[in-house]
Amino acid sequence: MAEEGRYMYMIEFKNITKKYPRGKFALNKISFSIEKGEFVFLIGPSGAGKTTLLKLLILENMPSGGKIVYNGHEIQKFRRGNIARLRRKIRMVFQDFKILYDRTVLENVLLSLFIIGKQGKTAESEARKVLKLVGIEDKANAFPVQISAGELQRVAIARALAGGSEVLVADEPTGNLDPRTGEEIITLLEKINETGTTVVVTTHNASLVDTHRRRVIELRDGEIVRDVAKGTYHASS
Amino acid sequence: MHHLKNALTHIRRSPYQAMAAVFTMSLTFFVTAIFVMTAVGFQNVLTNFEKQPQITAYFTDDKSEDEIRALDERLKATGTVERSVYISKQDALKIYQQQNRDDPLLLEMVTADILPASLEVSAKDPADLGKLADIISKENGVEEVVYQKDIVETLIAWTQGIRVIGIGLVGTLLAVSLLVLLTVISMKIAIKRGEIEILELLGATSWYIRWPFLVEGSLYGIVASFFAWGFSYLALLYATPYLNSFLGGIPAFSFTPLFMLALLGGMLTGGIVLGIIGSMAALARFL
Repeated sequence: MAEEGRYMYMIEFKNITKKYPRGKFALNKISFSIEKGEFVFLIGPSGAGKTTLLKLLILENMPSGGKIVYNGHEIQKFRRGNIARLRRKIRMVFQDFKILYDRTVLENVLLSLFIIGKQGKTAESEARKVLKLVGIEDKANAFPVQISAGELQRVAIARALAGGSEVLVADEPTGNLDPRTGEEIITLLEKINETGTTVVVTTHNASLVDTHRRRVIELRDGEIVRDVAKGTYHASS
Repeated sequence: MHHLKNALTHIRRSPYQAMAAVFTMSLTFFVTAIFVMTAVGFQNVLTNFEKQPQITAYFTDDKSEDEIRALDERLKATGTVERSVYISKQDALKIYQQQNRDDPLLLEMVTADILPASLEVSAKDPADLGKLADIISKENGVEEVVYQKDIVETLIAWTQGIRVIGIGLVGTLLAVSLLVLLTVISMKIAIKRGEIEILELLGATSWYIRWPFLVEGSLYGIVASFFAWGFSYLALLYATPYLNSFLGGIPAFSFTPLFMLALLGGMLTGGIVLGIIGSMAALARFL
């Protein structure tokens, strides 16, 4: 991976197309770029291609055409080893949390640190720091069934942050949460963004987008129809 | 160390699957150990017989020592005799007493009178054995001529038979072990599918995900090897007195500690290799 700060954009999508086997375009020649430290809302109706876009960014899916550039590297050319290293830099948070229910909160966060070779007290100390950052340090030894949905999402965010990720990609992180908890999660993501982590969030929640007034990229039928700074959920607002 | 800890956690969370794998592998290695020991034991018996005289002539009681020595001279006169030894009734009793020193009942029942005198003859060239046996057979007062060649040939046939059966049986058991291991590891991969997906998304390399399964397979092999070696050693210790007695005092199954350690080393290597192959096959199929 290249050194940071050398490139104008951290993430660039250049004419990206994603076509599914039966010929339907999930994304059709979309281009955009994201600078380091940006906070971006990715909005659009279901089936617009938001999740596909995020999956392309972590190479869970491969594009059918175009280039995805991360810190100057065309990542769609990456082999398995480099894909693993990329995913340590670009971490994803899911609507369904993807938490291991047979591990404690701390053990879930430690997974990210073990992967990069950190172990023992060093790893535990770092995991506790991240849990403190997301505000659930007192739940470290609790099992997922013992905590609320909002706290589960915080565990997922803590796990994504642990190990020094550069980009946090959240796919509908408030989708399973009540409005107040959803608001708390977006505020937390903003707090994380302030520490220098680039954040990309997909959401259907208009009030969150309108309240926080960040850059908005709107997708419809696999195409970008709007890309505005400090935008609102609806174009007319 | 981290992968070993993970593998131990896998085993602790599904102990019955682990037991099935260890039991099957233990059985395979136990049978393998028994066949290896039997084959080596038979080889020892064979070596022992090959070292012994090639023809042994037993004489009736009325045959005198002088007559037997005269026969010995005639045999030596042919120029084909490598070595010959006269065993008197008293010598035969000493040999018998030596062979059965642990069984007072057998010692009480036998006296020199009921044992035959014998002449042990080895030829310079095995091709001359027929001619020597012919001369001995024509002599009066010869009760029996034991032709070692026949015994050796029978033993070789037995040894080869045991090897073929052993290879067949061990091969079948190895295949069964491999299938059980493959099934157990595959089930564990299926159970941990969610965790594997999360690890991949967090940036775990494929080897980071594979190592705990490979370590787990190897652990099954190591544990099974120790069990099988322990049980086969116990079986050997239990059976050795009977086997040695049955083989007329030939210490064919009195293996040295070094041999048993080498057997353990071989079984451990085999166990680890089998464990890794089973795990790799499951990982190749499901990851």
